[in-house]
Amino acid sequence: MMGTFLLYRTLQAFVTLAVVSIIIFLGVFALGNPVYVLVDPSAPADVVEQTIRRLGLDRPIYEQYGIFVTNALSGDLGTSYTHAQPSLALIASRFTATFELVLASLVIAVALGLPLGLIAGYGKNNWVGRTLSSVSILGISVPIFWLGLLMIIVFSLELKWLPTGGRGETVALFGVETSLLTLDGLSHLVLPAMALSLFPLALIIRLTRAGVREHSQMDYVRFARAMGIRPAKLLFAYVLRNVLIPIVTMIGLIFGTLIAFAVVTETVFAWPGIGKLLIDSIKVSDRPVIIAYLLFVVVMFLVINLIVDVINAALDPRIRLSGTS
Amino acid sequence: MTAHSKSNTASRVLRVQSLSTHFDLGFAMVRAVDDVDFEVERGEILGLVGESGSGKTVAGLSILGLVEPPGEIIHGSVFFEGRDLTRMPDNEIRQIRGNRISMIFQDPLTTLSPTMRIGKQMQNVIAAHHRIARRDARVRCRDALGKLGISSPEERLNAYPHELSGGMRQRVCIAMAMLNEPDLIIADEPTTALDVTTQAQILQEIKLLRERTGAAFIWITHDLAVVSELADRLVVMYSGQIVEEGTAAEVLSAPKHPYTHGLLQSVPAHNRDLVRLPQIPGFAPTPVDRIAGCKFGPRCKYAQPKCQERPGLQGAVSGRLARCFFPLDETGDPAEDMR
Repeated sequence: MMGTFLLYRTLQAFVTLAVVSIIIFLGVFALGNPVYVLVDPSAPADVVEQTIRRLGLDRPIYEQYGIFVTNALSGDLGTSYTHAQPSLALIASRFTATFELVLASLVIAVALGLPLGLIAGYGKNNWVGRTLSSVSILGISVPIFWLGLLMIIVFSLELKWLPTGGRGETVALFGVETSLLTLDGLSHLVLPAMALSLFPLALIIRLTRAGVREHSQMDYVRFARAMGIRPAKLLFAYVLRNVLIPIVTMIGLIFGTLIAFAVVTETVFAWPGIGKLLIDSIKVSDRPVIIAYLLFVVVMFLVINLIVDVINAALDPRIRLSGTS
Repeated sequence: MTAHSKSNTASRVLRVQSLSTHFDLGFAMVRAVDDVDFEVERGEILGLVGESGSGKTVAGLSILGLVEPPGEIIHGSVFFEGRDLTRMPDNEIRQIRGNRISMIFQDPLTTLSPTMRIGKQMQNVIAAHHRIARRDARVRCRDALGKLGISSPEERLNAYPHELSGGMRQRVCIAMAMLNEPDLIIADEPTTALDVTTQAQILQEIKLLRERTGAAFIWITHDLAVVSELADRLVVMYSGQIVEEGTAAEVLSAPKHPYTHGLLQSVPAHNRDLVRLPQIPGFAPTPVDRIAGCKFGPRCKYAQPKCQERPGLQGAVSGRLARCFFPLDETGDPAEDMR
C-alpha cells in the first residue's frame, strides 16, 4: 500500500518536473541574452562571439534544452556564470541557512500558535479568544521588512541584546554547516526567526481557533461530554486530533512558501540564504542558478506535499494513501 | 408536585420539576422548554413524544446540563438521588454523566470521533469514572459490544467508526452509554436515522438490556410506533410544554388531549383502507410565536372561548394528565360539558 503510493508519487513527481522544466526554460530564455551581462558590451565582437559559443547560446532553444536535460539527468544543472561553481552546489550551500531560519520560525509558530489557538477557541466566546483573534490580524498584515527593522532598532541597537544581522558562528554537523548548535549562531538566529514566524504564527492561531470552535459544536464532542469525558481529555484527545489535519496541510504549504519567499527577511537581517542568492542571480541573468533554484523549489514542494499526505494519513484513518484519485 | 407525586422516592430515579430552558436569540426569547414536570421510575421506559421543535431534545439535554449557549436553564430543578443536577458544580455533574445517567443521540454517523478507535473511545468512558486496569477495561468493552449482538467484538474494538455501518455504530454508542451501568439513559431519537429492520433489532435489544440491567430510559421520539412498542409511560410535549401524560396504553388507546388524538389519527396503519390520512390543520407555533391561552388552541377543532385562557395540567386520576379544559373521553369526543 505505502510502497505503491510512494512509487506513484515519484512517477508523478518526474512528470511534474519535466513539465515545469520546460516552462522555466522558456521563461528564462525570454529574459534575454545574458551574454552582455557577462561580457563588457564594448568588447570586441569576436570575444562576444566566443563567449556565446562557449556557453552554447548560439544553438536553437530545443537543442539548448536537450543539452540541459541530458546534463540534469547526470546531476549537473549547469555552472553559475558569476560564481564559477556548479549551481546545485551553490544552492545547497545557501539552502542550509534558509532551511535553518524557516525551521526555527515554524517551530516558534507551532509551539506558540497551537496552544494559543486552543485557548482562544476553547470556552464560550471568551475575551482571550477575541483579543488573540484581533491581534493575529495584525500579525498577518504587518509588513515583515518594517517589523524586522523595528526589531533591530529595539533589540539590537537600543537594548543591545542581540546582533543586528549575519549568520554567526557555525559548526559542521554531518557535513552541513549549522548555526543551531552554537550560542553565537542561535543569538543571530533569534531575531530573523521571530520576524519570519509572525505570519505563520498568526495563521496557526486563527486556524486552530476556528477549528476548535467548529469542532466544539460537533456531535462527537457532545456525546463525549455526555459520557463524562474530562474537559482536558476532550480538548486534546478528541478535538485537537481532528483539528490538526487542516493545520498540518497548511504548515506544509507555509513551509515551502517561507523558504521560497524568505528573501525579504534575509535581506533585512543580512542572512546568507537562498533568497538572496536568487535575487542576485536574477540581477545578472545567471541562468543556470535561476533554473536550478526554480527546479529545486518545485522538488521541495513535491517532497513537502508527500510528507503532509503521509502525516495526515497517520492522523486520520479515513484518508487512504492510494495511488489513484 | 400535586397529581403525579404518587411514586415514593425509593422507586423514583429522576424528578424534573418546573424546568424551563430558554434560548436568548437577542431579537426573541425562545421558550424551548417551558415549565416541565415529570418523573422517571426505576427501570421504566418513559416515552417523551413530540414533533420537532416541541422541546423534547432540549429537555433531554437540560437534564444533564448539556445545553449550549445561548440556551440556558432559567428555572426549575432536576433531582437525582436527592441532589439538584442544575445546581451542581461542573466537575460533579461530569461524574454523573456517562456514569449514572447516560445519553445517546440521533445520528450515529457523527456521534463517534472519526479519528479514534472504537475500543479507545469506549475505554475512555470507563477511565473517566473508574480507576481500572486497561486490560480489564478492554474486556468490559468487548463484553458490552457482545451484549448488543455485535459479532466478533474483539475486532470491532480495533475498528475506526467509518469502518462500521450506521446500525453498528448506534449499537456501539448504546454499549458505551451502558458501560458504567447507569441508572438512567436518555435516548434522543436513537433509531430515527436507521432503517426499519435495524430499528426493530435495536428496540428488541434495548428491551433485553432493560430487563437485564434494570436501567430506566427516557426515550425521546416523534415516532408513535416506536413508543407503542417500547414505552411504559408517555409524556407528550407540544411547543415546550407537556400536554398529556399517562401510561402508554392509556394515552395511545384513549388520548385526552386533542393534539395527541390528532397525532394518533395521522399514523398510518396497514389495516386501514387507502383513504387520505387525517392531519392536524395548521402548523406548530414557531418558537418565537406568543400565543395567548392554550398553545394548541389555534389548531384545535374543538377550541372554545375559554381556550383563550391558559390551561394547566389537570386530571381526575393521578398520573393521567392533560393540559386541556375539555379533555376527550374514551370515544375520542370532547367531554359533555363543552357542548
